[in-house]
Amino acid sequence: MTSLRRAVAAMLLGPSLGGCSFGLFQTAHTQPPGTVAGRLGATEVLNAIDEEAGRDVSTNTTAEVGVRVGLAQRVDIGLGSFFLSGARADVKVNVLDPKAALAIAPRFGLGAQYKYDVLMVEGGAIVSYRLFGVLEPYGGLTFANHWIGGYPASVDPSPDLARRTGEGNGLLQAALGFAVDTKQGFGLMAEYGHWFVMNNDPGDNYAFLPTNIVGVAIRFGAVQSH
Amino acid sequence: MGGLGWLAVLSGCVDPFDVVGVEEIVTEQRHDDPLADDRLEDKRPVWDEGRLVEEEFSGCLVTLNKSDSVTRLTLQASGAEDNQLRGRIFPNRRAALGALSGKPTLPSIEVVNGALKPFNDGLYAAVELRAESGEASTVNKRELLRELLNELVDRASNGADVEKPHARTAAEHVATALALGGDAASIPADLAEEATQRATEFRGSPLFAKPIGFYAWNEDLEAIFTRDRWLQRQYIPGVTVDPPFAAFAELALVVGRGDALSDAYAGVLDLYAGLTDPFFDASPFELAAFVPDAGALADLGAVESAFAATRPPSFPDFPFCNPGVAALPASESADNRMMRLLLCNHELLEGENLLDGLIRKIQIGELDLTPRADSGWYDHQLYALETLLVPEKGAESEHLLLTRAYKEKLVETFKSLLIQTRETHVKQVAMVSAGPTSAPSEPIPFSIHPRLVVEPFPTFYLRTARAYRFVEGVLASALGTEFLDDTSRLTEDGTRSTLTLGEELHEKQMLLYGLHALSADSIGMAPELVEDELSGFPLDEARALARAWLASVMDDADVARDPRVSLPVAIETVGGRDFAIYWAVVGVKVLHLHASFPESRRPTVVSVPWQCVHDGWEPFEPYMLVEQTIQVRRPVEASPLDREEFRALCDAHDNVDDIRAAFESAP
Repeated sequence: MTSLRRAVAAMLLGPSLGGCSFGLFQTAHTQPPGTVAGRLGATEVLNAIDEEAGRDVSTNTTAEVGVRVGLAQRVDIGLGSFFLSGARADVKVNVLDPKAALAIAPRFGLGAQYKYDVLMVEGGAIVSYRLFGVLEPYGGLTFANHWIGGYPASVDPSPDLARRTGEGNGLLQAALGFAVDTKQGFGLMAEYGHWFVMNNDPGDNYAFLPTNIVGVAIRFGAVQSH
Repeated sequence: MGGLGWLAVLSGCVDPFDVVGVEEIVTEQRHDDPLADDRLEDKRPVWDEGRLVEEEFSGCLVTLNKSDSVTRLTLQASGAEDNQLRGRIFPNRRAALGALSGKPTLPSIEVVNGALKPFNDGLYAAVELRAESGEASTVNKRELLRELLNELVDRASNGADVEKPHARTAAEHVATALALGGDAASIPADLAEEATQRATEFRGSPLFAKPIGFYAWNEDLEAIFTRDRWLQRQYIPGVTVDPPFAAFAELALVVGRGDALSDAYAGVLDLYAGLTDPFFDASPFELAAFVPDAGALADLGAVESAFAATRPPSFPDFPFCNPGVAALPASESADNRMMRLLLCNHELLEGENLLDGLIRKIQIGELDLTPRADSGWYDHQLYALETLLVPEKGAESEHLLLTRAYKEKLVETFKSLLIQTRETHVKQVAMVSAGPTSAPSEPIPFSIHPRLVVEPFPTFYLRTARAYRFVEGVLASALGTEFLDDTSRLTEDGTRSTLTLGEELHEKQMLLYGLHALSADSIGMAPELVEDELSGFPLDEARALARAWLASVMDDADVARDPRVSLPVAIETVGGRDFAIYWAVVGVKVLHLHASFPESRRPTVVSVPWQCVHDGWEPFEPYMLVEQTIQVRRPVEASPLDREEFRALCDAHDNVDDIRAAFESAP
């Protein structure tokens, strides 16, 4: 019961703070031109080091904060938090008719974080299909590469330490989820994601781990194109 | 957990980066082939907009920024002249320079060391002579030995009965030292015959007793060498019997009193611990706790057992490899520690000689030459050499792209400098068993090349300067500041320098800081002097001195001196027969350097005079004078050769193989 209470508390408190944007939390349909929708949610991160690092839901629950703005009939842009002290943006283009049930949207994004001097570049695509006018399952595949410039090393500098290769740390981020939308401007999203580690710069003192992500979010503001 | 606790968690108590990943420290094994060519992709010099240098090419004064450039160094032997020079060994640098017939040369590290080695010898010789007389200093070895002998003789006559025989034994040991030191007049008549006989016997062991190095310059230094080598003779518990343990137990009792005699004795030990390195064997001071009073001498076996229990042997199967106790112990250096492992632990590889084994251990990181807290001058000197074997440890590493051929040259440089440096400390280090011109009317084309003014290893010059600062402090502390102000170094021809030791020490440091700055400038690296060094040695002044010295480096009398030396460094038994291992510098040879900027790591041309046109990049190909070293094995009963004898042997041959063969078989 304690863990459940913690999870609920985290989900409630998370949106009021800076977030991490670990989840995808968007369908392939774009925001209508000139409209804005917000997103608040929470994600739980699960990976192999939780137990040995003494982590649980109270430490691994993070906030999801973001907005999407419609730029054109089939193009929108998303802005969101990124690893607490950073921000990210992505542009999505629905290549099909915006009113069609099926949407396919390639996307491209950038992110930067201050604390560890991180630059992120991502590219991928989302596919979604609207059922019954309110339920929209979606799936996304994104490759995100992170160049980490300032993650501190716990050892003194040494000539034996590996040098940076410049390749960065790459993640293939898969996400499956669904959105339940109402025409009153409210929606609920739930999502599961998995990060596959694709490449790792041995000289930046940091390595991503294969990670599972489970999260929920509420969406508010203008509804997506119908 | 309350609401505030939740707030803390979500606002970053566990950083999100630490939730989805971990710290990862990756080390690379670069030691598999320490001589492998450097890779340009591993070099990441950092751009510094303000690090500008002005260099002249074809009369054009060009402003360059080399901060993110890399200079490639390799050796070449392609032309007919290179082939003609290959394998030739010259007796000295002047002879080698003559064979080059005026071709451009780059002062090598060996040439710089050529200016330092005579100074180091002269400085050490001056210290040795001053430490005999004690004028204006607290160290007076001759007087110490006399007073020690008087004290022991008194105790042998008037001490407690249990002490008398041990005091007599110790008196015989010290009296023999006085006999060897040419101070027989201070020996009481009843000890004289015994002392003279022991002195004669010791002189019959030339490997230990024959003065070599600068100690052969005059009779006073010869006497100091032989006497101190006698005082280095050790007692190893359960292994040796002569000198007997009783002598050292008695000395321990005497120094344990903490009186003026004890202070004088400690002063001598402190001098050599700083001037060379701390000791391998224990001194009587370390034994003193086990001999609190004369009564303890009644059971010497118990004293020896208690003492031995505090010093468990590192090499139980090779007793001679373990330390013992000595009246004036020999020093233990970083290279000796590793040589002991190589020889006593059988860590030499098949077919590997001692020198190459030592180098391998340094290259793979098993021997770190970083001075310890109590290290003396010799360890500080060795630290300067480390950058030659593991250049990636030096700050210049990001600016230099070294080929295998050049790294092999650096290994030879290390060998030569190690031998020359160790030879200065030969008595004390234990044996194991580069102006504007008037504007022309036509544009002047010019090409840019690496403008090297001295072999570009700034870390070596910096660490050597710091080693001089260290020994300056040691000497001021041990012998008083007056010693540096009123003493001059000795030279090989028996004369004294016209400058005081203090003046020369300052000049040598200024020169080395200047060479550090000039060589750093030449490869785009920032000089690394710290604040107190900059206040004592302003960089502009240091650069000017170094430039002036480099402009006439071959006119420097010290550089012109004969670099050939040899010395025994260890003893090993092969096929039941004892051999001494000798290291030697047998002459000077010529190498042809090829320095260039890789295309992707060239300097940025910041400004060019209006009348000049930059039309390309070219290599820089000067010659360098370096030294040839060898390691040989000679029967242990064969006398070491002093410099004159060794140089005469080398003069009789013109190639390394013949010199090696002649040295191995020389009587």
